[in-house]
Amino acid sequence: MSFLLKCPNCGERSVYEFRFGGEIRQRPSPPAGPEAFITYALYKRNIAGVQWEWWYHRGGCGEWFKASRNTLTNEVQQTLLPQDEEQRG
Amino acid sequence: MDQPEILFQWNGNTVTAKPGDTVASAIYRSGVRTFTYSYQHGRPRGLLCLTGACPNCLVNIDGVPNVRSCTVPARSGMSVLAQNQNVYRGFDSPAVKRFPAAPPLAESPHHYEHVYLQFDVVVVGGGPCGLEAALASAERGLQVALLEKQPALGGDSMLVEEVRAHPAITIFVNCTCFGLYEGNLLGAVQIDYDRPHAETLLHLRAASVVAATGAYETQFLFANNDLPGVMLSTAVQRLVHQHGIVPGKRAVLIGDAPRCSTLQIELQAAGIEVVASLRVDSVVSAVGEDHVRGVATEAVTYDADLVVMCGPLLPDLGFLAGTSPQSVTLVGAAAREGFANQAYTPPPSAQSTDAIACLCMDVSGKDVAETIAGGMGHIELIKRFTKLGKSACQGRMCQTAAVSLCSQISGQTIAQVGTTVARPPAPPVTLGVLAGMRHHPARRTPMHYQHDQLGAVWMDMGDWKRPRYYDPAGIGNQEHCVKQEYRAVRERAGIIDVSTLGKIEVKGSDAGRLLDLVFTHEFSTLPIGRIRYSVLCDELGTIVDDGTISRMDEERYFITTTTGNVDFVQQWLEWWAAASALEVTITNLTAGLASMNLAGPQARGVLAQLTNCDLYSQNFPYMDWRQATVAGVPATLMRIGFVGEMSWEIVVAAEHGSHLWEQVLQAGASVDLRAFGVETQRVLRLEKMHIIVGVDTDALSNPYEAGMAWVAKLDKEDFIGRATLARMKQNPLERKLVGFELEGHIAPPDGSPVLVDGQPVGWATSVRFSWEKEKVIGMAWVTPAEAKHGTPITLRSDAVDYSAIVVEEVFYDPTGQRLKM
Amino acid sequence: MEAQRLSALHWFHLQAQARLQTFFGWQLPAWYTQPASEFAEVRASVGISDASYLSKLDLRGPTGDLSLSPPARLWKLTSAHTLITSPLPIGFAASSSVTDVSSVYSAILLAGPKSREVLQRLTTLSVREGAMPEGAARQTRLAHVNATILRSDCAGLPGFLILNTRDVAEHVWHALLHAGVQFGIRPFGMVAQQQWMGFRHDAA
Repeated sequence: MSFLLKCPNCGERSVYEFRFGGEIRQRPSPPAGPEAFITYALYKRNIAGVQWEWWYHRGGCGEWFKASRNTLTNEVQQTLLPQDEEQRG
Repeated sequence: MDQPEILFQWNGNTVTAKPGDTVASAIYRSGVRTFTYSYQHGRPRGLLCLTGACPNCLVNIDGVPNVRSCTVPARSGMSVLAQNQNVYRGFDSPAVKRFPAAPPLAESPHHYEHVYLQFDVVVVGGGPCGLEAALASAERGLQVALLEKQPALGGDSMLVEEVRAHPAITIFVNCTCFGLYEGNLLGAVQIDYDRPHAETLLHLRAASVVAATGAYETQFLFANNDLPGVMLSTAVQRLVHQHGIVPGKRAVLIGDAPRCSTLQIELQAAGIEVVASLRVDSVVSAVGEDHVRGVATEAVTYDADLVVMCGPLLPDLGFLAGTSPQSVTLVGAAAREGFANQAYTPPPSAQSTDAIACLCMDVSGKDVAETIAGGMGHIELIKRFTKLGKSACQGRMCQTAAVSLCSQISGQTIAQVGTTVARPPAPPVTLGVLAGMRHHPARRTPMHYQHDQLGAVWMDMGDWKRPRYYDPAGIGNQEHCVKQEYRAVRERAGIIDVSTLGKIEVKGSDAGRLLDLVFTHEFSTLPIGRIRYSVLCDELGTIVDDGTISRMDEERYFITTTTGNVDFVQQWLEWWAAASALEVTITNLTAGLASMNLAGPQARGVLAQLTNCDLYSQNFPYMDWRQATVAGVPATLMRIGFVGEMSWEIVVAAEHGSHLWEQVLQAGASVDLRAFGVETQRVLRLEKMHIIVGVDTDALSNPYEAGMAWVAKLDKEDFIGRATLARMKQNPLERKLVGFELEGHIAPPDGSPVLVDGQPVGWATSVRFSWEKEKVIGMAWVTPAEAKHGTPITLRSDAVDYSAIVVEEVFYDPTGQRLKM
Repeated sequence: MEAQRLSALHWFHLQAQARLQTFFGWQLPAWYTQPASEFAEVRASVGISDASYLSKLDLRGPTGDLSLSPPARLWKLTSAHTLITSPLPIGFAASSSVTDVSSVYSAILLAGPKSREVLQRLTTLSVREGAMPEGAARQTRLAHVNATILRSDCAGLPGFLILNTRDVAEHVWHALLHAGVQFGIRPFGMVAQQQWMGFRHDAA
């Protein structure tokens, strides 16, 4: 694995500068019961294809951002900071 | 013209090389024809390809095994050894292999480096096609890298000069490309022959890649095709034109007519008599024992001391193994040649025992034929069953033989037979060059060298170096040293460097909200000046970390985490802040602050010498913090501790840490204050049953079973883990963390299983001898049935059983009076 | 007597028998070999110098109207994250968006015509011609640790201020020395460093 990932702040960098944060899911809000939180914590869709996911630039700006990546080819289509959500393609 | 002589050792004999010689050509020039013996059957092998594609010239140079001597320039002083010398030369017995031992890594003279470069275009191959491709891109204003595996660029000298002079082209010679990886990352190894044993791994990011690597020649398959003296036409050309060596007097050429007749003219001009030109399908066998002495056909045997194969040409694209073809532009012979136009019809003798298809593994044509006859006709099955293509040359020499034979026997087309899947690195690379510089980033506190001077015995805690204990007199007895430190803390005063613990500042209008969310306690209501211990849980209610949180200001908090966990906690906080769009600034201050904990009944007296701050409990109670000047520098004093004694954590800017540590030691001299290390701290805190997250808890522990029900503030509206913790509270526990004690002096190790009636019910997390109880004490996970004071349990270690009893009360100062004095 | 501020590289300076003096309140090497020749050596090839004494201020959010006078310098890390460095104290009060990180980071000046080649042996960050001009700032990984790299040239020669958390300063210092061995890399002291950085503060 050696693809490049375009951090919205720092530009294209080696994937090893980043930490993968998992697919983006909606956290249940209280008063949701424990079953909702356990499902949220343990079950993932694990998409074989394009998915939106969190990445953390641990070896760079230290910010979290969202990326749309094809999990089969590692082709990253879009990256954006959480506050720029409306630019999502 | 007087050129310096190049002298090196070959198996203990001196060899003289001419300038421009490779190690192989110099050895050949000296008359050697057998370079090695084959791996499996001990068959003599000589030079075959002279371009680094076959395994026949592999030697050991200055302790480095498996070096392709035909690619290494000869250098004075080298010590070259043949490999596979002590082999039993019989067909049915495996060869006895002997490899000289590699030197231990620490003594290795090898210098490995990594270099990271970026180019618009990388051209692999510095022959005429590569030079033209490089120039074309450079003229378009692109930054170009040109890689060439030989010591010099090839082709027209004017073209070479143009390339050398162009500012946009960077040339790398002695540089072999071994793989093209995801994201157009090219891996290449460059050897600097002026610096012995220096190898560089180049990581090249390329916007586009051009392969101008040309084609390489492979052998034909017929009986005894592997005899020394049977060589590829390109190898013979190299010997004659590059090295001025005539490899024989009488030659038989094998191949198709046009190539043979062109070659014949060249060889005759070099003084070699060509006695016959044969098509490969008419060859029965090469003849000879240690060296070829002729070629036999059905009709006649030709006498010859040189057999030249005009063999199949394959594109030299090993480095592209596993890549999709569209991402690379192929030019020249690399684009032109291929299996389809190079396949040939093997003669009948190709299916004999002496027709060697795979030189590396001694796989014969007969082996291949029998494998196909046995039902394993797929090329991948042939490879796996016979081991064809699985060794040093990585299938470069044997693929055409195997594919042609397979096609002939099975009746499939070449395309239908296909080739085996290849993967980089190709050619092989040393592990050393992949590893690069041997550098481990050690983390050190500002007081590191002072610990050294105090005789610290070091331990690693992740990347951090910490004193396990101090042994100033060098007596080498851990128990003795720890006991001295322990007694100092319990009876007088001790000082420990806790700078390794994580320190994070969280500030902003949403700081309180963030902390309320991620910790189990409430922090937005914590008064300024107070400190609170809390726990971080995940959504499943599992304890992830613990620490103290201090309210510094209205919108500012200071968090401590366990050593090594600060990165995780910071990322966790950053994620929650980003996902919930909170107004907060999170800063990792760990390296910027030196912290030390001064603990013991005399701690106040020691500290009072260094500061005017009122240290008495009515004005500075337990779990408060104050700003003060200590030893002349601004400091934060935090009345917290881990060891159950009156204690202050003194926190200063890192650049003052050294000075402060020194001052504390001096101030404490009158009460014989001691520096104490991690091991002593472990004993002290165990007597108080203070848990260490990650030691006494694991990846599934929740606060209820860890005996920390009090951390879960379920009346808080929402925090991470709240919902699951609320459910857990209602369910019976499955296990519990309890204290225990056992008679005697020997402490079974941390992690020892706990048994009841011979059945495992849990394990001991921390076990130490306690000087307070004069017994061994510890904490262990047990099932609820055992979790009552006085229940007998057994610890087992190394087949020895230790009888213990469960203890509910904390071992030292159960009412916690001493730390609030 | 005022407490001495010590850099994380203090013990290296001691071992190297550098001439230690007080600069900006810190114990630092004035020179290692000769003050006169050190600057020339750096200009000829490459050297490293301890610049940990620099004040460093971390600003979040828009910087607005910042009037900074030399020797303070402003470095843009992202559109909402700025770093200010200066050999002198920086006059901004701490707030929820301003953090004094002077003590958190060590700083090493890597300077000289071969400085780019040395960096290329330690980081995947592109420092090729044009990728990182004078005044640019990059946060990346270097020698397996996080680093903030600030391009700080002198008279057209490339130079890089490398900031690391102080706990790994020694590791980075030794990694630089190792990576630069074929270029004759050597440490240089404050006399030469100040010539490079373009400010002066006489030693106490």
